[in-house]
Amino acid sequence: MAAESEQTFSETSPALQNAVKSSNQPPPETKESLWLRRLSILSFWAVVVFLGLPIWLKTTAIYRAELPLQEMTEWAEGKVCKPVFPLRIAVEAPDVSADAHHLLRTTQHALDDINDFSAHHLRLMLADPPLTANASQQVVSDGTRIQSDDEDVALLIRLIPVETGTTPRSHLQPFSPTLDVYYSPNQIPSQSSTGSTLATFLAQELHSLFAEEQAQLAHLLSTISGAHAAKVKALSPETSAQLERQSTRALKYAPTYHLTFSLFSPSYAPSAWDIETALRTYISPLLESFSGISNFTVDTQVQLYATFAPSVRQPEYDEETKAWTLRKEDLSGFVNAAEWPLSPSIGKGPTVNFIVYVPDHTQSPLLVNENAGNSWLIPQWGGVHILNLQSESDTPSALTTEMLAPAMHTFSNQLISLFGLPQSPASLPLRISTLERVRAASLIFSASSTLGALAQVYKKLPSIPVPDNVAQSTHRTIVHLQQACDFLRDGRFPSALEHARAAEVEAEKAFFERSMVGQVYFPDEHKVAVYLPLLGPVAVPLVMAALKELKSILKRG
Amino acid sequence: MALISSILALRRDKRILKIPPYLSALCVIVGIAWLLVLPLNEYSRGTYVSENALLPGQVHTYFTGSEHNVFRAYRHEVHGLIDKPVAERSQRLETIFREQNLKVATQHYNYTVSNRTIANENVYAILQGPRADATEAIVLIAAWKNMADEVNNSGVALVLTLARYFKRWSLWSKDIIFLIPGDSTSGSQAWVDAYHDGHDQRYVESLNIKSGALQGAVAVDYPAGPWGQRYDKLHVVYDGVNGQLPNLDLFNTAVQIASGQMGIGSVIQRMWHHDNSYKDRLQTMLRGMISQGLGHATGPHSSFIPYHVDAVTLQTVGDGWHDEMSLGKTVESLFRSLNNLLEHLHQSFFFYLLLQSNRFVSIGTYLPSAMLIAINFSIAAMALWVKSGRRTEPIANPASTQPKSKPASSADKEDKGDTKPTHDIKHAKEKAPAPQQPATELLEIDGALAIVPVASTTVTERALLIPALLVISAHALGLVPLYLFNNWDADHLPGLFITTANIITLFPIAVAFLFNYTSPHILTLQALTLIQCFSLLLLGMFLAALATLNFSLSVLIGVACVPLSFVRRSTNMGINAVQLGMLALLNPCMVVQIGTKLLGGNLAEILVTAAQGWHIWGLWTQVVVWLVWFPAWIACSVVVASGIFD
Amino acid sequence: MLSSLCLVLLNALVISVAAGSDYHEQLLLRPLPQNTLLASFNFRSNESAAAFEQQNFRYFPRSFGQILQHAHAKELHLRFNVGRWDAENWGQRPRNGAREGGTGVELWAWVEADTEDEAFARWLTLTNALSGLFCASLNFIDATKTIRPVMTFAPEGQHANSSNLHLLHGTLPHEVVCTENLTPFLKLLPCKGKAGISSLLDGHKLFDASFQTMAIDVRPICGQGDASCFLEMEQTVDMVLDIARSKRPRDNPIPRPLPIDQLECDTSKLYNAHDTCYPLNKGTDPAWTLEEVFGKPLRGACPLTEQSGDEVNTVCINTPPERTVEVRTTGQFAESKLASDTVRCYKLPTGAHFDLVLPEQKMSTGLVRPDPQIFAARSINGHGQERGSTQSIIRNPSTTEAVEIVYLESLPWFMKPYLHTLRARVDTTYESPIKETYYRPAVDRKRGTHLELRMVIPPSSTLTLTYDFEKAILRYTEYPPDANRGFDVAPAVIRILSPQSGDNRGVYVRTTSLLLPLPTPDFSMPYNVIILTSTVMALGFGNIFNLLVRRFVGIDEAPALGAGGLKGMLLSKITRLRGLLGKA
Repeated sequence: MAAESEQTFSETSPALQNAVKSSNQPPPETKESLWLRRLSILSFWAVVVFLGLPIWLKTTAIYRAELPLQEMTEWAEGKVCKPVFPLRIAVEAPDVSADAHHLLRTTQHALDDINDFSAHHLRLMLADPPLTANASQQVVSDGTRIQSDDEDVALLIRLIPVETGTTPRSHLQPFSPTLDVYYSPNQIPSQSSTGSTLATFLAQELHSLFAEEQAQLAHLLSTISGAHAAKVKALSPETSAQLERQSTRALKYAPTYHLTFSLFSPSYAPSAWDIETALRTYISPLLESFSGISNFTVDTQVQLYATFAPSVRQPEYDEETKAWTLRKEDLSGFVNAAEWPLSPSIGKGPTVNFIVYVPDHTQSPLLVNENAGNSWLIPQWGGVHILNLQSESDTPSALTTEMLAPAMHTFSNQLISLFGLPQSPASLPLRISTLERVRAASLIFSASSTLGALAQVYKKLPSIPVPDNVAQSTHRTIVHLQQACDFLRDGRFPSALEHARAAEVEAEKAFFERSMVGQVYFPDEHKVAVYLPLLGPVAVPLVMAALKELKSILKRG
Repeated sequence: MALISSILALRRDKRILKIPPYLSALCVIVGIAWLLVLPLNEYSRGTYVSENALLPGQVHTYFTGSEHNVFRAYRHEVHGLIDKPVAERSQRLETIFREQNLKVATQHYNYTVSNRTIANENVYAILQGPRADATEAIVLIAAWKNMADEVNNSGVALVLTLARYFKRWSLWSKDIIFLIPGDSTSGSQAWVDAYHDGHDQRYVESLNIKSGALQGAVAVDYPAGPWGQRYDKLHVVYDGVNGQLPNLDLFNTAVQIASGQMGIGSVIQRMWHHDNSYKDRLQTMLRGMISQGLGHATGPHSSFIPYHVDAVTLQTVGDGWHDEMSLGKTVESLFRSLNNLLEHLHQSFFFYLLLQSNRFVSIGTYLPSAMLIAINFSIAAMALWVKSGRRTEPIANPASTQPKSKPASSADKEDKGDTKPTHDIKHAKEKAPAPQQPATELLEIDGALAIVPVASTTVTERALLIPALLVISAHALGLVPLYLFNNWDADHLPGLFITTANIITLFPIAVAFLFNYTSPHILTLQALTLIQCFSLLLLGMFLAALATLNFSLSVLIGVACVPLSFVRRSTNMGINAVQLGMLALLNPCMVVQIGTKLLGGNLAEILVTAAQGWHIWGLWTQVVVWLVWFPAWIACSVVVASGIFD
Repeated sequence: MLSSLCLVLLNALVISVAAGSDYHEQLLLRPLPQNTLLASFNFRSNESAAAFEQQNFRYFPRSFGQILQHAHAKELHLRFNVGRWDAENWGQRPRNGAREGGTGVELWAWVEADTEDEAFARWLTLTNALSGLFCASLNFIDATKTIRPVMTFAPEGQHANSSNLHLLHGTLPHEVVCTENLTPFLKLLPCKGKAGISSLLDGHKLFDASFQTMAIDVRPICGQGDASCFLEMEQTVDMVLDIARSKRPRDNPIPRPLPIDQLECDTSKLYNAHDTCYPLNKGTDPAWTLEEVFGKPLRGACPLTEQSGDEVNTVCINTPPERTVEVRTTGQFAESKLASDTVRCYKLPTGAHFDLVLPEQKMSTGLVRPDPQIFAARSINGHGQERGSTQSIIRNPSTTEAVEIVYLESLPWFMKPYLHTLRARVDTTYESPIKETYYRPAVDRKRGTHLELRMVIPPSSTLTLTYDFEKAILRYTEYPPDANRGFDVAPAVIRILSPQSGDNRGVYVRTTSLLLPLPTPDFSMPYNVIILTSTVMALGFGNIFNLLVRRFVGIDEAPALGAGGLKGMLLSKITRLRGLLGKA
């Protein structure tokens, strides 16, 4: 600029030019003022950098706890845990002798030959009756021996020598996991001979006993994770279809189930029923046997003036059967969800509804048209039983336990199938322990898949906050999963199930953390738009001043 | 920064000091011109309803048929009460409301303003909405006497009929209050004060029954006699006390329902025949501004607006073919709209100038004119301030032309930055006797050197105390007429007015003479300049602030005060005389008087109304007149008058 | 005299309700002045404590019972209320106001818990569950709307261990009660509105009433001596119907003007003519039938009720003896007269419609309606955005005995009362009526104000209670998303301690709710506001910063525009241009 002004007045006289010059030159700045200015600029920058920015970042940052993503994905892909189901089967021989051992070995060989499902294999062990336990046997017991009252024993085979009757023959006890095998002593294989009728018979028996369980497990593995599908034995399509049906019908696993027994009546009667005793007689034993797997709460209600939904077709009178009939396709609309108070119970866990419908005596008996049945099961929801009373006159105002008996039988069956219990074998404890194993496996799978989903979310949405408790429950989940897996491996199924449950619960808790969804819909553009009007105008003078000062410093050399 | 400093450098430029008068003149001209262009289409907008809930005219109205017979009967009833005593009248109205199963109460009020007592009774009934929870209410008003002091015969009858009709509906989400005040202004004021518990127990009775917060009020004014009279248009009155206005949505709803649904034309500001021309628009606007500026109550609705209750009055005018039922239907539809309201009216404008019933100017557009007029005073004040600080003889601009013949040697030495101070003294010495350039001196500030003319460094002191005191006392003086006019006996108010007018006209000369005679040293030239400066500064400040509250009042007073920023004390007798004459014409009393003549009002009435407004409606136009306008006028007149006496 | 009798009768009914069978229902009709009709429905169902614990529900609704168990609520009172009770005209409140709530929704319950926090947690679960059950936004009862009254409410049931019971109370004055609340209410009944008096309840009529309140009360009752406790659930509906309005058919509800020939005119008027008609009020009681007024027929009795004993009288009507009441039904019914014929009760037929027909009739005698023990009115005074004052006027009409009351205020936190401005004046004496004060100040955004006063009002005198308050300014997220008409303040609850009524349910009066307008921001432009404020701040910063870091020199020393400031600068530019042109 100075040069410019010179040029401005270049054509005027030198004197004036000098004068102008003289008034043009500002006196040099003193060191103090210079440094004062620089310091002030510096201090401004210091405040911005060391105070402003940190506070801003701190206040606007969203907290994301660290998650073991690698582990989680591995669990989800099933790389960590390959579930195996080693079943211990105790064999109780009358005389513990070498040939008993031999029999065991041969049977085991036979079994392994038959079995084509690696994950699920049976290990025979020689059990010694608790009373006859003495030092000598303890010494020789080398892991192939086991206490017969150990709760991890899946099945106890009692070899009973008999002289009469066809041998070998077996009898499965309905209410204890015990298989009695009757044989004639001559069928004990000698040390020399490989294979024997008894051994093969035993093997066959055992295989058939656990056939359905194997099928179920195989089906489970195949459906849930592709990783296992490789070494899963192929199932015949019809079995898999049937298993599919079973699993769809069965309820999702939950630690607690609420059973609701409701009495519905289109009129004002019956308005009372002797449900307490009925439950005590018919339902409670079943529930007790299930108590190892889940807990149950039971509640009952009476609902009068329960009408059909207007949409569903009203029952028609069928002449030849002398009965009112419901068409099969209308059964789905039979339960009038809008009107009937079948709201799920409060508290965790699903509600299973069992409905006793007492038709009005003008419409009794009421049957299903196709199969003249009077009860049906609604998958994953509950069951309905139409209770046709004999009395042609007026419906009684109260139902006795006897009247309720058929309904209760239906309900117990429906409960079993809703619960996903296998059809065979006949022994209830066996079926339940099977269920234990299946449940444990499915729980492990679902928990680990939940973990995978959580990991996905964590990676996909960087803007959601992740509180600490999510991380904690994730870790807990993994721990429980690991334990469950280990317990499965050494065949301690009840505790495996326990840990699988815990894992499932924790996983759910981590995944459905409420505070994680809040921030999702607050995009960054919005933040920028809010901050810019303030930060822009403030930043400009700061930057300009800094640049100017730097320039002057450089100029001064 | 550099730019600003260079502009500051011009401060002492003589030419700059000549500008302010022209500048303020420009402000005034632009300000007024601004007002004049407002009526044009480019600067005004068509009205629209911005509150969606109102849905004006969307409902079918059923107020017809046999209701007409009932209405006629009630009209006869009301007519029978005209010359009955107040108590009996209220009693009868109460019984009619009671027959309709409404809750009824009466409120007595008794004001005494300038030795006149205004005593009367308000009758009101509350219809409790079946679904309402007593949290909100809307009011339907028919004053017993309208603004023109005629008995509002059909209006009251209509309210009675509508009360009976509304009672049958079950859709009211708010309570409906039917109010029949004794008169149009004080009655409704007393009622609404008592409703908000802001009343003075000595004059106004408290209300026995109340409802929820008032959401709106509609007044009907239909002074047709017992045999009815068909009307032509609806005159929608919307001015509130102190120039506050109702929310534009309410006004729009009323107009839209009347014209759109009922086919009744609506007019405003007594423009009976509005042919949408520029002239009519302007006239409407000016009328609106005048009535807003005066800030008096224009109907029963006016006193509601200060409590943030939006209200309008529907007044039947002309001689046409619309009958009372159409008015009833209008009110019904209007109340159905108000009933829809989910929240207090807030969407639309509260500050606007209406050009016709469906065209308006919003505050953003018109405010600048008032501001410009106010600013002109501030500019003048600043100019005077600078002037008061200046010496009489001008100083040469040092930085401008320098004499060319100057010893180069000194210049050469001077331009070296590192010359020792001793040197410089020498130079200064030798430079001093240079005759043709103004006396300069050399300043040294921490080693920085500058040559500046002596004149610019000699400071002229301003004696602020005396002028400030005088201006303040002038403002204090305003309290006297304020008190007198509000509390004087009504019959003697005109006399008081005349005397005040004369006193005020002569007052400045007297003051000037006194000062000059007793202590001429007080009113020095500078003191006078400062007096004018201060009073103009205050004036500008007040008017600017006022413009945001009551635009019209600010404009009116601003225009009336324009000369004050131009009059100067001059030594020329003739000029002084002229200035004084003009000021005399423009003193507040004169303006009021002339204004009354022009608008064809009765001075005595206006004075009484003003006093009434002061005591009852809380009017503060007087305050502005006597404490803002009057002092400014006095101060400037004194300044001018002081010119005579030397 | 009649009045006292009918009172006695009402109390008798109440007592009889308090004991008895497993399910019972009753409807009491009472014509009121101004052609209105009070209909009081009462349904009561019991469940033995044992069955309730085992969750075997018979008459007690399962969904409701489970909520109670889940929240450990031992006694619960829930109220839905619309409209106002006009005490001046209608006299005493139904059931002494004990089955009546403030406008909107009101809920209070005794929750069993060991600690305060646990109690509050259970209270929250309770409100959430109930909001789902009754389609009401009860879940909005949070800490700021919950108080723990001390003197106002007393448990009605017999509680075994009342030590760890916590009383919590919450109101939603803004809640609009409507049909969606009635439907679940009816579903809780054993007869489901399909039979019995509940078949009369119809949403349209119910919510067209001038006053209407639905109540649900659950309380444990233990027989004296024996430990046979049972849980009683009482459902109550009190409604005041405007007969003229509810007689309108539903297909044509619009109150069109009557045809001229149907209009009865007062011919005594001089101006009476074919086109002028002063409406005649005949002072007769209007004609009505149950079906007309309720819009639905009464479908016989609900068979679950006892068919014998003292509770067979399901429908009672309380009129002067001379009022003619015809019964129209096909089934067989029984009529019985009580309280010197001022009350006629009917045993409903089962399975057959039942209807009462009252013709239009000119009455010579009327029932003397008992006055309420106090009249109460509350209003907000003053206007403006910053502060205001509340005024409650409580009048004791009795000329003989003083009334002792408890006055409960539950104010939202953003309405900050100044306790030092609390004034209670009685117009007859100078001594302060306030005997006891319980005050829990508000904490911003945490809890509301809770004020309880025990006061005595001397005979035939009026108490005026006033206090000033300040309006807090809310964050803009704290305004409700809907249109903002202001915030509702819950009604004040007044309990009359003495003279005490017969039963243990207490005598209550509630004022109307208040509308509190708060300063409301313009929600449409938060972003503009942000920009504006930021710009202002930035400008200020810029100036200060420049002042600090600029170097100031003499005018003529400023580089580049030395001589003559602007002029010089311009000159220099011009000449520079000229020079350039010259070169070119």
